[in-house]
Amino acid sequence: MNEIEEMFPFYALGVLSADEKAKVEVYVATNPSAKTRLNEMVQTAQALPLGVAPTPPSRSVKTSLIARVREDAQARKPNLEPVRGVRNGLYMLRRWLASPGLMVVTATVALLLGVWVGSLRQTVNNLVSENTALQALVVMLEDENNFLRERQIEQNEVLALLSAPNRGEFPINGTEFQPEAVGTLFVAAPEGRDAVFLASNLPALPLGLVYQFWLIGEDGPIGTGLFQVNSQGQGVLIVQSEQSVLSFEAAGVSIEPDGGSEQPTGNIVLLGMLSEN
Amino acid sequence: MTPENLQDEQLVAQMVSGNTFALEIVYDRYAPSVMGFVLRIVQDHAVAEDVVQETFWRIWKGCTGFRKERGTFSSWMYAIARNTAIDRWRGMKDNPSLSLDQEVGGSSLRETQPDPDEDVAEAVFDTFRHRQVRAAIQALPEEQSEVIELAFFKGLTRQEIAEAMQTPLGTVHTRARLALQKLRMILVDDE
Repeated sequence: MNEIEEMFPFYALGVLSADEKAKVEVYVATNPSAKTRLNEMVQTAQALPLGVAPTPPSRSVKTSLIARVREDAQARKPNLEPVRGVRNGLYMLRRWLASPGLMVVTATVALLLGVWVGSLRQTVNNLVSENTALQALVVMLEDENNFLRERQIEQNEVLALLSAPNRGEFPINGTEFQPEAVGTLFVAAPEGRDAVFLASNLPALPLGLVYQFWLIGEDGPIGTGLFQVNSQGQGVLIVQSEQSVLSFEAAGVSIEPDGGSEQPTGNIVLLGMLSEN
Repeated sequence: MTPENLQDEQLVAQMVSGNTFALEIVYDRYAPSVMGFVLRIVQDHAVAEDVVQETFWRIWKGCTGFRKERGTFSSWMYAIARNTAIDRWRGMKDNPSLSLDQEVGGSSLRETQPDPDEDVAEAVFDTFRHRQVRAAIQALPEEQSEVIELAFFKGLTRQEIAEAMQTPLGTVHTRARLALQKLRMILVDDE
């Protein structure tokens, strides 16, 4: 390993000097295999911030930040201070009006001022519209509050199940229809009637379709929940079963019409066995 | 699609056109993670909050400079947070009297609620990813994790690390390389 490649980990960790960084970048620019090694280290180092537990900052941090940002955004908008300009314009206008030979110029200036005042009025109208839209947004956000609270309760439930001790974990893997899909079923001890299913790498479904989760036993598949995935292809489902989840032989996910089906009718995209290893 | 479901890069584009709500969404999405990360570096809650605010301010002011070809938004954001935090931490080191609160990073005041705008799946997967990375770091041999700590969380140069650990520079190089290789093995295997 040469001197430059010795520096790779520290390039990834962000502690090289500017000169050292430049040397590394020049080196990898003509060395594809070294560039790959460097990129792998950089990607690994980029995950390090996630190794620390999140800690919500106090509300005042956001309040101060947003106030500062809004002031900055407002400052970027066109200046609406016409007052001094209007006063100067009227004085010059009177002087021009006192001189008959410049009546045409006077009329032109008056016309331009009229256009300008018109554009100011338009700006004020736009601001009034924006204010109305903002008020509507506030109402919408207030209406969403109950829904968000319910989601938070669900989130807490899921995390509690995932943190439960002695839980079983069963991989539910992608089938030929979605080979990249990945799923895991976490079964809470001791009775195994509560479980959480996490899926990722699933495509969003078109309107009218939904993913349905099945527990499969001797009597066939039993549907135990429906879910959609988010923009990142992730889905979560709390599975509740009258009998222990571990009494079933397998679990799977199929694509069904909205509302689900009595039996799987669409492609089975995830499937896994529930036998304990 | 609601604004909260927009991808990071889409939100940056909104910020570039002056949309302050886009920054609010980014803040709600990442502030707890950035705060935890920054707190780990500066080890002072009040200073950490200051750094968090400064980080998102710099994101707002510098959003036109973000280029997705160079990396993800989150890596850009964490780089800003880290640089800001390390600069502040170095200042605190030089002025020990400024560091009044010796609270170790990781504790939570819980004055705010968990982010309600994050959907359940995203929150669950985020938590999982945090735990995964934390477990991977904890699985490192002590001397390797110490190099990572000093370099990444404290911003020490290779030479400063060698001096702090009273170890030859070559050994520091080896430990850093092995640490990143091992982390990559663990994190890639778990994906």
